Amino acid sequence: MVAVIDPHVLRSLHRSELRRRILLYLYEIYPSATYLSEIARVVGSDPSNVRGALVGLGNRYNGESSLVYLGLVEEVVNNGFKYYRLTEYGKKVVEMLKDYQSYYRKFM
Amino acid sequence: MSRRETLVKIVDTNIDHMISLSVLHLAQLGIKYGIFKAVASRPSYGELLAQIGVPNKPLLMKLVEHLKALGIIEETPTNLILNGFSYELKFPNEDYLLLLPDWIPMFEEIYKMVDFALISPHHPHVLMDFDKDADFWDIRLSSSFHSSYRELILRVGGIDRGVEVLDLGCGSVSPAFFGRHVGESGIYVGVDYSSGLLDIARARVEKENLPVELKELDVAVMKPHNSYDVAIMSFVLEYIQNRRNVLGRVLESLRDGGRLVVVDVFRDEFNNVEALEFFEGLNGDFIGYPAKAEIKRAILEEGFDVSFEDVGRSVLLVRKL
Repeated sequence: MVAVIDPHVLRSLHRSELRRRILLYLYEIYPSATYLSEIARVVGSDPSNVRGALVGLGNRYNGESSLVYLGLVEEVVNNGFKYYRLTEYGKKVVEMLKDYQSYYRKFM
Repeated sequence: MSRRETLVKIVDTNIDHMISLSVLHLAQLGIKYGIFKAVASRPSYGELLAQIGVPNKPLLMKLVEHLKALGIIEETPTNLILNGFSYELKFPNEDYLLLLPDWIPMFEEIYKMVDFALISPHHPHVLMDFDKDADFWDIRLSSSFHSSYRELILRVGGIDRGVEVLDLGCGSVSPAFFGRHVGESGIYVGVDYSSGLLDIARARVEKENLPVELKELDVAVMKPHNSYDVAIMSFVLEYIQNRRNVLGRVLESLRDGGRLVVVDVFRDEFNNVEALEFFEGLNGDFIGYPAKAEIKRAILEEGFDVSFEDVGRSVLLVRKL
């Protein structure tokens, strides 16, 4: 089955600078996985905000819009540690986002 | 079978199945919104519209009109009636290998949009506007169905290094694709009225530094000033009111021996195109699919000396003599 990108996914990313920064970093290191505090350090944000963007967090972050829920990032558990890695679908979405930057700028 | 023949079959077959599934989804809408149940009691047109509780009455009327065009509903001078419609879904063995899976999820998105469009034509979940919803269109235009007809255009139009191409209604994907093929010694000029689609196209073209020129113009009123070897009109005529004028201007822009490649769901080649037209009509600029005969007649009436070649059912090649 060919992965089809839901335009609503693209638009939700367009509305969240933090989600976009996380995705772009995971794209840079793809296919490697990394841990939450490393992502937080690179994107310049608090680990709790990064966790919210990745998997959702209480009522501050909508879990249904989180990167893991949307299938863009996967959570890998190894020796009790959680790592995050861009999925194949996430990679495709990032590549599309790059092409859409000037188009989305009109809505900002 | 040559690659060109295979591509012709792929494009034609997939259009057939797009139409088939659209017929079924149109019938599903008739059941879902209680239209058939209401028509069973032979209401007048006005009574039916009043009975069906959707806010967007113009779209409801359009839905009824398309159900009439397909012969599912019939209108007498006084009322609407059902006439025992039956529809056979055919999947010949030879079609299976030609079917492309990735247009299905796109259409599923569009089928879902109808529910929102029946609330309001401007509902945010209706993503059919070329400019506002350029991302959704780009996803559609990136599918393997669209890739197949682009490759077919390449072969039918003889687009190769050094060729000068004019593409009307170029969208977001074709510019980079054809730009790669014409190379530095050729030129590809893409025209589209959607700045959103052109923004996406430009990002790709600049990334590869391709010999592509993009112009934000309405094809319906533009007048090409240069001469070209090939002109492309793929799935654009259904958005143009005055087709004869546009075709005349495009033929004028072709050099002697130049080729115009038209790709479309020609209404005189495919059955039940009205079903597909209903869903594509969620885009406010959509007018309706053209007929091949209409295009040929318009070109001849404009006084051009041309030869026509039917390439399967969805492609028309016009050679300027």
